[in-house]
Amino acid sequence: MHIPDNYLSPSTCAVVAAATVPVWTYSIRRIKAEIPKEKMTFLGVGAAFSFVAMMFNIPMPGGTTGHAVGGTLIALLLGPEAACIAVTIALLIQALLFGDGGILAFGANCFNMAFILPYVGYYAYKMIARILHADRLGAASRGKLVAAGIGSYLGINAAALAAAIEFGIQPALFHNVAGVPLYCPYGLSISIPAMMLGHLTIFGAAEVIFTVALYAFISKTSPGMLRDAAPADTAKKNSFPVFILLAILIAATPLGLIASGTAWGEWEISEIPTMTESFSWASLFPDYSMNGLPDFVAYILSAIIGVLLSIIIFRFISAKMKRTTKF
Amino acid sequence: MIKLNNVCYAYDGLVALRHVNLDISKGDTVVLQGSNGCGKSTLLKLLNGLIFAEEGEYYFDGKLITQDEMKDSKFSKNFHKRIGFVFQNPDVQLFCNNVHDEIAFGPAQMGLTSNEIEKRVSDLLTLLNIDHLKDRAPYHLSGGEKKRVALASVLSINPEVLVLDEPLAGLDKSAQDWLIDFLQELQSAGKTLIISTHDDNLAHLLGDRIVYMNEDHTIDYVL
Amino acid sequence: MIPDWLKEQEEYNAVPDRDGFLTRSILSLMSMLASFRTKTISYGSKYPAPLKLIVCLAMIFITSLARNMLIVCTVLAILLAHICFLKNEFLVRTISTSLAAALLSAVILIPAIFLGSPQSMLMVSTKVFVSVGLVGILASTTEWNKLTAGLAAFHIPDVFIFTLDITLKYIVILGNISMDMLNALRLRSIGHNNSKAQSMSGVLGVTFLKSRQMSEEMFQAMQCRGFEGEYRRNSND
Repeated sequence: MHIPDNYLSPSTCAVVAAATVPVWTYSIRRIKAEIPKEKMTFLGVGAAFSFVAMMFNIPMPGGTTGHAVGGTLIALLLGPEAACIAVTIALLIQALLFGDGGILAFGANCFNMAFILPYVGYYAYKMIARILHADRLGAASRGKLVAAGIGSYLGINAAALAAAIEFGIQPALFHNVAGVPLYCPYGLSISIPAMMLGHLTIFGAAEVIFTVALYAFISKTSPGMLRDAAPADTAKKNSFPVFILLAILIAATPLGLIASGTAWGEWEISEIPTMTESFSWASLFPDYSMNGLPDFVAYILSAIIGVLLSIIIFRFISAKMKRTTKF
Repeated sequence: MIKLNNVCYAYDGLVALRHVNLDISKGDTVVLQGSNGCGKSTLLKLLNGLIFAEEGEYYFDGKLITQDEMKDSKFSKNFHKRIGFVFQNPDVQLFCNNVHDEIAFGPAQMGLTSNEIEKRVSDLLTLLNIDHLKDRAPYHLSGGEKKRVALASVLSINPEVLVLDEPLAGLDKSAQDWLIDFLQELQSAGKTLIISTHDDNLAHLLGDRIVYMNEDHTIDYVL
Repeated sequence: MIPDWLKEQEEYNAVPDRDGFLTRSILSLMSMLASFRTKTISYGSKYPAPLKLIVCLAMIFITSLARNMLIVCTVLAILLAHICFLKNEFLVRTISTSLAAALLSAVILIPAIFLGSPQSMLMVSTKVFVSVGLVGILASTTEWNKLTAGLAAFHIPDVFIFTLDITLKYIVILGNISMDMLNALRLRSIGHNNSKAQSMSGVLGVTFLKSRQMSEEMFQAMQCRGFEGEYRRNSND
């Protein structure tokens, strides 16, 4: 679910990132209050675990495999605030050091996978556990496993929906003079079914299997590691500000996007091109030759790129073929 | 049964095995010695098909073991059944909820009936003195107990060849003596044993042959 | 004492099973750990990390904002020129990740052609190649601990930098542990495993428990060396 750069406009990225900042602040403050100083070291180790877990292929019925994010599981083990920070750090390393997920889109990825996923997953788990009367302290019962499964399923699908919305509003808000979308070209009517299809099925299943299997293992082996359900009234106190925050953010984000879209002035809301417009190669690069710049600039540029690419391809192939060790 | 011809292996540009030649017959006990970093563990991993020679050949029971061959699921599973590996760090090998399941994991995959599986498990629990640990989670056991559980979980698949990486490391004296006795029994039962160790006592008591790995990652035979 | 079945040599014919999840997980862990191992960086170590971060970010930003392919292609040319100077292993890795990301984008955006905006596919895919490539160069030319320390220039609290450093170290440790466990599991997967997910959870579960234990021991070791809960970086980086 990692969103790369260039699928979301910089202004979308900025707005969603701004929306994530209060979540980070809240999470860090809660962590400092709840987790004693000594356990802070575990945040780093928890982030490392989150990172490594994302590398695993989860075996699923039918022989398919999928990847899980594991945000809900970490929330069940360490609490949603610690899960938020752990997943954030894991995403940062993935983006910065592995190119997995965009840099500009980092805020959006954190919003989806470090905020929505663990918080929705955790509080869904609490609610369902309470409904199933499985929220007493102690070793895991069937009910807790069911709650963990449903919670993680809701968590990942909520995150997928958020990503789908972030994608889907791009073409309407950000396109050039000719109406060509600059970033993700798929509107909500496409992005939502496309994202949700994969996550309601394969990725949702992978997340559920990951969460339930691991939760079961840890509760059988070291049940003391589980973050047991806090007494009921504390839970109510905790969830209240988070849901208010969530509601405000959901309301503010589209407003912010629309406002920034027009405020930046770069994008005019013009007619969406109709399907009957003819297609020609020239229209692929309508702005390719800017007014006032001679054509040869473009030619030189393509020549330079061509040469560089040839060097790189040659080096790439020879690097792959070389075996340098002499025994 | 096991034949290494001029096997070479390097890891990240650093040589770990250099022109290693080794012949092991069925029923032999070979003790592998050498200083740290000379390539003992690498050799053991290669024998078990975890890594593959960059130069040279590895024959197991006449069949060439290469990465391509091992891509065939049936071939690799048959291979892994015949040669068992007890890692130096038992933590790495124990991933089940309790000791019983850990030992039963191998035979359960072999398609044995549940009676046969239970027989194997209970035989090994008794044999290795871990009957009282049957329902415990392996993760919380002591070092010596973990080693015995790991050994049992490998023996339950009844391999012909048993490879042990530093089996005595971390055990107290009585546990070491016990293990040496046990390995001698396995020897008499016809198993082929390949053991890497720093312990000279073990080497002399058990080894039909002692193989010494040099610092330049080649191999010498010492009797 | 040794039971009879253990003395017998039995004939065994394995049933093939779908172990793809094992080999694929091992492979991704292996390549991840390998990228942590490449010690010597390619070039450009004399430039301070915060500067490189800002430049990289600025170029990604420019690329993202660009509506004109000319701008994107200019950045592309600069990017390729840099890649030419990378050492082999960094070149291979950077190109591989950028190409993979760009191809994936191209595939995802194919339907856009039929929806009337074919430019999207070319534009976004090229931009993706450029952005991922820029990050790849940053990672290839900066030692990772300097990169995380560089974040301190942006007034990110020390405790965050400290946690990030711990994360990097433990990714290697936990990665190795889980990879060794997956290999051990592979060695004992000699037939049909009915509960693959359970085995997988065993590997990850033990990894988690060990990580918990290690972090406690690490804190205790830090206490023995005078740590009292305040994180302060040395400013001689």
